[in-house]
Amino acid sequence: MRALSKGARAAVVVAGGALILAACGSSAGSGKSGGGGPSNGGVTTVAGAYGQLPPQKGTPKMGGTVSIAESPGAGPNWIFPVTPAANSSVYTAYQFQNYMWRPMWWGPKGDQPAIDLSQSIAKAPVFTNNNKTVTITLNPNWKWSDGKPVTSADAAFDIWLTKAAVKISPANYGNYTPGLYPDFITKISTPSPTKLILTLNKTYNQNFDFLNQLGLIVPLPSHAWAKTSANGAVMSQAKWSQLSNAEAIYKFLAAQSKDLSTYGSNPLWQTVDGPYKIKSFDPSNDGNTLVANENYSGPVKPHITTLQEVPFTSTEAEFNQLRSGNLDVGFVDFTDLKQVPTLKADGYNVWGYPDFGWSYVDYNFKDQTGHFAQIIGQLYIRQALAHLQDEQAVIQSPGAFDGAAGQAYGPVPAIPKSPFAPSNALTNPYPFSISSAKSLLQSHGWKVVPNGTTTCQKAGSGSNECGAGIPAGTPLSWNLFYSNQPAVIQAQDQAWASNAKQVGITMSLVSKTFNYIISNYSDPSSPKNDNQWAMEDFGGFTNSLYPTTNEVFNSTGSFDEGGFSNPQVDKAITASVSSLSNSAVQHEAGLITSLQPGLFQPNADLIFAWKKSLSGPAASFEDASQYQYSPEYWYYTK
Amino acid sequence: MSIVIGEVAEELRPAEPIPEGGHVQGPRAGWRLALSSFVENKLAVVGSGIVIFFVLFCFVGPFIYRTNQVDTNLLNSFQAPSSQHWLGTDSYGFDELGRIMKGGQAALEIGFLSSAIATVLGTLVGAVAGLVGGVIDGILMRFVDILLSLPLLFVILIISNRYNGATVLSLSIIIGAFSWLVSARLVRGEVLSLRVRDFVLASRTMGANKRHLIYKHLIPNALGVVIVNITFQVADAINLLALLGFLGYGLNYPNVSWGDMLSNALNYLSDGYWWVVYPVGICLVLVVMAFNFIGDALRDTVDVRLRRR
Repeated sequence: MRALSKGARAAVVVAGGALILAACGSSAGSGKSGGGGPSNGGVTTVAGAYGQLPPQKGTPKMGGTVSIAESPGAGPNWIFPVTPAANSSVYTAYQFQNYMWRPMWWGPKGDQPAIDLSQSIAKAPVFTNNNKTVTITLNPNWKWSDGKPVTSADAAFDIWLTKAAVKISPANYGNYTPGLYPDFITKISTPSPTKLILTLNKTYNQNFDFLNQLGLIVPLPSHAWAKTSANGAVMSQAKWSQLSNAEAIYKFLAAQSKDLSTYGSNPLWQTVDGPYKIKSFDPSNDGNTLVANENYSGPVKPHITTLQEVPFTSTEAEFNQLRSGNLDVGFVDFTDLKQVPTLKADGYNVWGYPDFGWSYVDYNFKDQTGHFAQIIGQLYIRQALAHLQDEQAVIQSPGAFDGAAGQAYGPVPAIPKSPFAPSNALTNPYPFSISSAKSLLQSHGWKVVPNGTTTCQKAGSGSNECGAGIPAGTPLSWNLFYSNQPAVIQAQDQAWASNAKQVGITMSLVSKTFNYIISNYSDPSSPKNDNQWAMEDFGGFTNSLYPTTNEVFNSTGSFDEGGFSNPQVDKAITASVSSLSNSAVQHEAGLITSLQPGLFQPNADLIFAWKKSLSGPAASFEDASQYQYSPEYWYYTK
Repeated sequence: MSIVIGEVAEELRPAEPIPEGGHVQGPRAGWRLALSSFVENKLAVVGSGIVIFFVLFCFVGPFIYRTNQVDTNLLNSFQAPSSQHWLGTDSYGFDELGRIMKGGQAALEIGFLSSAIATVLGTLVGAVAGLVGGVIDGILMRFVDILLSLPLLFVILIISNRYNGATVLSLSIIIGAFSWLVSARLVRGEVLSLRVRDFVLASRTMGANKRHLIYKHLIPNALGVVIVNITFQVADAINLLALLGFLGYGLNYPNVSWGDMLSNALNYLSDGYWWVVYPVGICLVLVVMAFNFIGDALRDTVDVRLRRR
C-alpha cells in the first residue's frame, strides 16, 4: 500500500522526471493511434498509456548489470524502513528500501492500484469482531538472506519500532497520522511464527485498514536488529515488545541509518528479505549499487546481479545519458517526448502510464481578500470554474501533456482503473463549456463581461443571487500561485486562466517554487498567510490503494491546505475510515468530485525508457509507472 | 571734405590673404561635433538603426501584424511557421512573432524605465557625494560599496520571490533600484573634477548655493558620462530581465518578456521547435548588442580625448 503523501507526488512533479503524458487512447479522445501522437511515435493501445509495452521475449540470461536513473534531487537517503517524514518519498521507499525489505503486502499489481498477493509475504488479512481483530497469516517459506524465516515476530517488531519512533517524535515516521497506524493497534500477539493477530482500538473499514494502514507493515529482521549497539546482544521478543526497549532499538537503528557512508559496510543492512541488498552508497549524491540476494525466497530469483542507481542533478542530464546509451533504465520528461522516436531508434523501449493519484488546483476557503472565501464557497462558482478547464486540450496539446495523461475529474482518476472509482470519475461531470460557466454565473446574479471584469450584480443569498457575504460590485478576480516546475503546470493554469477571462474572471498567475508554495500557502501549517493566496497549484497527491482523502479534504486533515470544510464530506470520510461498507470510499470520492473543493486536472503519465536488450514480464515494467520497480523479474536475453 | 572713419571703400580694401594651409574654421558647436563623431562610427549607426527598428517592431508592429496574445490555444501549440503564423506558434498556441513583439515591449519598457530610475538616482547621489564631500561623501560611497558587494542577482531573486505579481513597473523599480551604483560612482568622479574648475568656483564665489551648483553646473557638465552609462544600463537591464525570466521570476501571464519566452523554449530545445528558440534569442542579442554599440560610440563622442578633430 502506498501512503497518501504530498511529498511523494509533489516530489515527482518537482523532479519532473517522468510526469509525462503520451498518446491518449480512445477514451481521451485524441485519436492518436497507429503511430502515436504527433511527437511520440508510439502506438496507443491502452487508454491513458504512452506507447505500447513490448511483449516479453528471449531466453533469460543470468547475470548482468542494470543502471537505473534516480530522479534528480530525489535520491534515496534513508535505508531503515521506519522512515522519518523528512526522508519519506516514493524514491526512498519504492526505489530503494523495497529492494531489500518487502512490505507485508506487495502493490501495485502491474500498473493497477491493487495488492498482488502472489508477491506478498502474507495472505489477505482476516477481519473479525467488527473488524477490531485482524488475523494475518504469513507465508512460511519467505526467508531472510541468512536463511532464517520471516515470522510474525518480525512483523510485530516493525510495529513496535514504529510505535517507538512516533512516541519519540511524530516526525520520525513519515506516514504517521495521530490515532491511526500504529496508534490504533492496542494489542499485538504472535501465536505462531506464521500468525499475527492485531487488536484495534475500534472498528475501521476493512479496506481502509488493509490497503491504507496495515499495508505499512514491513517485517524487519528482529533476530539481527533487536539490539542497541553494533556489538550488543540481540533482545528477545519479550524484551523488544516493551516500548522502552523498542525506543532504544529504534534510536540505535535510526542512528545507523543516518550514517549514509556506512550503508555498504554495515552488517545490519545485509540481512534482507528482498531480492537485492546494498553493496555501496555514495553519500555525496545518493548514488548506490545493490547486488542480488542469492537467498531471495520470493516468487522469482533475480537474474540481474547488479543494480546501479545513478544520481542526476537535472532531467536534461539524465536524458542526455539516455540518449548516449549510458543508462539502461531512465525516465523521459514530457518536454522530451518529441525525441522518443530517436530514443527508440537508439535501442530503447519507451512506455508510460498515469500513476494512481491526482493533481489539482487547491482553493483557499479561508482567503478573505476580495471576499474570495465567500465566492469560492459557492458551489456554482466551483462548478463554473470546472467548466472552464479544457482537459482534452491540455492532454492532447504538445505544449502540455502531448497526449501522455489520463482524464481525472476527482481524487480518484479515471486512469488507472481502481475498484474504488466512483461513476463520476469516468465521465466528466463538468465538461469544458464556456457557455455553461457563463450561464451559471449569470443565473446567480453576476454581470458577465467577457474579457472584462465580471461583477456581482445581485447581492444576497437567494438562489438567483451571488451568495452570502458577497457584496454587489464584487469582481471575480484573485491570484493563483503555481509551481514553476514542471512547465506543464504553467501550461495548464495559463490555459485555464485564459478560458476564465472569457467569462470575465481574472486570475493573476504568479509562479513560485514548489517549496515556497507548500511552506507558505497552507492553512494547517501557515494560517497567517490565509489572506495572501486564493488558489495554488503545487502538483498533487499520490493515492493509497484505498483512496480516501481523509488527510486532505477532511476538516481536520493535515494536508487540508485550503481549509476546505464540509459536513457532508467529513461524514463520508468518516464512513470510509470507520464503516463496514465496501462502497463508502466510492461515495466519498464521488461526493468530492461533485463538490469540487479544487480543480482536478489530468493525471500525468510516468514515462520511462529501458533498453531493448532488457526484457521481463509486462507487469514488471508496468509497475514502474506507479514508481515501483521490480528488477528481479528483468533479464538480459541470451 | 568729409572724412569717413572706419570705412574703406570696397575697391580700396586689400585682398584678404589666404593663409598657408587654407582657412582656419571657427569652432563648431559641441553637439554638432559630437553628432558628427557619432555618425562617423558605423557601429553606432547600425546600433541606432537596430534600436529604432525594434522600437517600431515592438510598438508599431502589433498594429500591423495583429495577433491574439491573451487567449491561449493549447490545441494550436507548436505550429510550424506558415503564412498564417510567420514564425509559428509557441507551446501555449500564441503566435510567436506577435509574442516576440509583446515580449520586446516589456524588455524595452523595463530597459528604459529601470535605466531612467538608476540614472536619476545615481546622478543625484553621485553629484551630492562629489560636491559635498566629507562625511556625506564617505557615508554615501560606503553605502554604495556595501550594495556593490551584494550579489545583485541573489538580492533581486529574493525580492522577486518575496513579492508577488511581477509587473513592468515593479521589475523596473527593482532593477533600477540596484543599478544606480555605477552611475553614482561615475558622476561622483566627474563632479570631483568639475567642482574645482574655474566656472564652478566663479559661480560659488557669486553666491550660488549647492543646489544651484548641482543642477546648473555639475549635472549638465557630467551629462556626457551619464548618457553613455544610460545605454549600457538599458542593455544590462534587458539582460537582467531576460535572466530573471529565464529563472522563472519574470513577468506573469498575460504579460511576457523575452527571458520568459526563452525559459519556456529551453524545455523544447532539442525537439525541433527552432522557431520558439532562435528568433527570440536573436532579438535579445541584437537589441543588447545595439545598445552596447551606441554606448561605445557615445563614449567616444563625449570623451574629447577620443573625439576625432
